[in-house]
Amino acid sequence: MLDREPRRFWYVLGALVCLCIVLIALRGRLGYYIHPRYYTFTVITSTIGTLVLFKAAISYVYTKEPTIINYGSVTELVAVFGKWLLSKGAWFVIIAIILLAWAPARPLMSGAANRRQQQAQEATSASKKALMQTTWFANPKTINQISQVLSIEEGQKELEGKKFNLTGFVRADQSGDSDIFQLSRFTITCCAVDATPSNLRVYMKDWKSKYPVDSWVKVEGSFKALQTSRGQQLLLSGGVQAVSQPDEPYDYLSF
Amino acid sequence: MDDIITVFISILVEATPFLILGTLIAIIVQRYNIFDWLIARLPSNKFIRRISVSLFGVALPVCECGNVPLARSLMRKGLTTAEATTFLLAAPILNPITFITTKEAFRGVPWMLPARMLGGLAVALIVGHFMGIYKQNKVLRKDFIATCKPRKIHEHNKSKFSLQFAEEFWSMFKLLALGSAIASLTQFVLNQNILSNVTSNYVLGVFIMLLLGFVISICSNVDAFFALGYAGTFRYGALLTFLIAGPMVDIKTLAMLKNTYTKKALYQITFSVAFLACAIGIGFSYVG
Repeated sequence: MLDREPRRFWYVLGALVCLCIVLIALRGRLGYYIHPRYYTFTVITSTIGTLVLFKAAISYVYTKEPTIINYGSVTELVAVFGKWLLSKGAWFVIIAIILLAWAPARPLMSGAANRRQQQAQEATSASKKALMQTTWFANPKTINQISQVLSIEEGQKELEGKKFNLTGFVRADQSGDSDIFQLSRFTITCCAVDATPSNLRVYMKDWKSKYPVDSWVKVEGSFKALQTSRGQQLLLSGGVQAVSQPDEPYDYLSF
Repeated sequence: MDDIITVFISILVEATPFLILGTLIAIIVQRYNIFDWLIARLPSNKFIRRISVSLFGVALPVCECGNVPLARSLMRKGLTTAEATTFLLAAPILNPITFITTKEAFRGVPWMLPARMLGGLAVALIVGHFMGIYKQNKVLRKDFIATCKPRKIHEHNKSKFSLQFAEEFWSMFKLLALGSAIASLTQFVLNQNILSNVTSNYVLGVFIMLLLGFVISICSNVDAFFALGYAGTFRYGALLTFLIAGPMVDIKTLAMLKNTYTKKALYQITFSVAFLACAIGIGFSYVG
């Protein structure tokens, strides 16, 4: 037997979507997908959504008299249910629930960074001035801020010799130099959709044998002018150690 | 594949809470007389009336995902197609959060905030007016028009809050899931690195930022910071096109509008917004 219009299944599916979002929050994985400023809002609204939709599924059974049809065989029942799934777009929501609930949580890494890397543009006098007027120009903290400061000559002079303690993931350097890797981290303003990678070039002999691409590392060192295969370059140099992936793997831009 | 799943989940986790909030407000508007007082006092002059409706977003800052159920609800309350379309297009831009973030992101470009607000309002008014020329059944789907009849509203009021919420949420969410999947797949195909290399032609830059806004489907509340990332690559006129057209028509929002507007109307809305936003963007490209 099957309800001809199994609306309560829709409601249960909707409730499961909201519940999955709450579970992602409980597992501490919201930071993989959205900016922390949305955490509280997301948890509150998703909890309300879960409760209201489950209530709707229960209410539906008691407020409407569903048309009950007797199906002659299991095949007929499966055919009707299958038709409902295809015609109402429910299958798509089921895929969404499966991904929300079971897909291994993973932040964006070097694959996405390669696709999203913007070409460095030559700084104009206006952009230079704007950068130098920022509150963090003399004392940048994040990989995003440091990479911006390094993009102009005045910034390079400012940062040479300064010590930093930075965490990011390993990315191969585009120069192909075997002793240089990129310490990368995405910056997000809203969610993973707008994530933009920032990189710092790190000098380390034979880094590939110790730290595979996409592994998370902490680099404690300073910027030094070092001789490389492409001449003298300002590189981050110091101790590198493997660390576990942080719960909040991006730099979250605030305003 | 992992990145596609991460982006897909990211859009869902970001947009679903706004959809829940928007649906809750929409049902409250529909069931209770909160907005009746306001709607009854709207000016009778069509033009001023539409400007007033476009400012509803100031009181209801729920961004584009939440605005779709709200616009449906306002049509059920008696707003015309032109007025609801104006609200739908203007509200994501003319709301306090978008105002603050645009102001903060473009501190060094003082004309960007008024250009976005006024440009967005102008596009919304023109496209809304355009939709008002056609008969309702040419713009809206028949099954949606049926839910706007007074008898149906009465029936809605009798039904339980949770059932009404569930019906509206389901009708929107399945389309949101579809739109999110298309947006995440398209982002995987679209290489931003290649796009940002095409910088010399500013007209091309406007079209690229229009395309990016359509695909990215980022929340209008914070899209100014995303656009700022392209400030060194494209002219500010191109960024303005992104900031005006992005919140109005993107893959995710269009998917959600599928069960309200006819296909033809959706094409018309999309192309009119794109045309007007590009015209504004190209015009401002001469400025900066």
